[in-house]
Amino acid sequence: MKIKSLFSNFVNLILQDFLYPTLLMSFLAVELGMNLLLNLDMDKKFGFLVIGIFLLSLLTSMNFLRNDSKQNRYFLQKINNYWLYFFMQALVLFLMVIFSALVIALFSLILGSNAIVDLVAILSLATTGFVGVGIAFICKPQWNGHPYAGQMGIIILVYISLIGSSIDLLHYIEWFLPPVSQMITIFQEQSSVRALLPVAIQQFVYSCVLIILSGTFYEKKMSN
Amino acid sequence: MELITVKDLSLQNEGYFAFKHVAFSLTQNETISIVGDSGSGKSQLLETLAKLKNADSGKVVYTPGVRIGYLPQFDPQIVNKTVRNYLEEVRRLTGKLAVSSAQLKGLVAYMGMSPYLDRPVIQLSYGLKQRIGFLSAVAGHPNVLLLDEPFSFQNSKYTGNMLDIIHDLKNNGSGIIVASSYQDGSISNYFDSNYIMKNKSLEQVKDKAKEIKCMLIFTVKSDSMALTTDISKYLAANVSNLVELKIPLGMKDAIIKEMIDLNYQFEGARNLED
Repeated sequence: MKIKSLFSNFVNLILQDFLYPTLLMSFLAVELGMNLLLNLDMDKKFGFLVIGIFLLSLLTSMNFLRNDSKQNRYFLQKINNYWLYFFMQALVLFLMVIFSALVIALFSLILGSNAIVDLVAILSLATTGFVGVGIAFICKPQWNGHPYAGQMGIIILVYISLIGSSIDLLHYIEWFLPPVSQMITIFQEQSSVRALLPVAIQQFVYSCVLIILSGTFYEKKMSN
Repeated sequence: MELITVKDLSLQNEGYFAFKHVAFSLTQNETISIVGDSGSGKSQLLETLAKLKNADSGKVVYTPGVRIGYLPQFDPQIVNKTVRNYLEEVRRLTGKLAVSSAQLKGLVAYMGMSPYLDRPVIQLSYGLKQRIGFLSAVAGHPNVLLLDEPFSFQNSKYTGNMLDIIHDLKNNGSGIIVASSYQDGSISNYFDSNYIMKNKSLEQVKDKAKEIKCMLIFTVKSDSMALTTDISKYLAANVSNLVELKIPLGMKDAIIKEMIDLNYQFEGARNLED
């Protein structure tokens, strides 16, 4: 019962102000428009999709967590289980990202006849979105108590996510940086979707670490 | 048996005390009233007891098995479900220990919510939402019930019905804390212990007759109306266009508002120590 309540509450929270469908549709429109105008090759198109789904997931997750901190203050008290509440938040956002990756992959016409390659492409888009979710989670205090630290954190993390692998100075701590730009550079260097699989796994692990760290740091103690 | 024991509890918000050095205990079959001015820290204290905030110092000891029902003074959750589905969902969240479906139906009828069962919660007025909040706090059959301003937007009939339900829960072994900024004498008599939040601290009102008083001073204007009977009973002096009212501290805000409505100029207030 708790899981059902949490699921329906969180899905409503994502959809209630139409930000998510608006962002998704706008992104698809821009992507298709750019494709028509600039006739992008696959390398550039995939790079554009990676950046797009990263920003889409980040903004949707930030909006979700903001709505949650504003509206669900007392809902957590009714659920009375912090970790169940927290994992359901992450699960619903992951499902939103997977859905977005499927829609984007379908409508941007990147899918071909090879099912495994298509699957890796969708997986790579999804795991990039997971990193956006993870960054939104780790900068969650911007909605409760630490607005400036949280917002600065978001700006810095988005910056190093997108630019990280192209700055030599950051090469030595590359494993520490959000692996988003890596996805683009590896695809451009190798032009193979299969080569993205290790980065996709790295992205998934990275986002899980961010989310678990966020859950542990910002744990609302349900008992004194 | 003690349900909650609060030991020297303090909470600060960005350097300012929400409340400090609060100590009391809530036992089974006990009702506690906490009265205090707006901003005195009542709501923050209840949120801390409901485990929604972590205190900076001190301790709250919960007896194992305590189930807390909490009514916030305002719940910002947007609920698109109908009243029927929402209350049933909240009831089921507690599991086997919650009131039965039939009992919930009875409570809904007693609180005058039957005509609204198929209406979405989001469409209802503040007063009705407050009653739904009260019912959802009670639906889990809590043994500790924390109510923050439960009587706001309610007429005397439903205030009385809420008090009946509170009394019934008390007789079944629950402990109840009610926080409000204003209570008339008839309501305060329902409670076993009365506390007042003053200077961010919680003080027990040992004797209701010795309740901490406050003196309000107003000047009479040319268009001031006659004092109502409710206010006249607090009249301490009425000389040289000055009206002085000696009132319980918890009634301060309500009386000032009422006097301003009657076109009196508010000049100041001072607390009177007993």
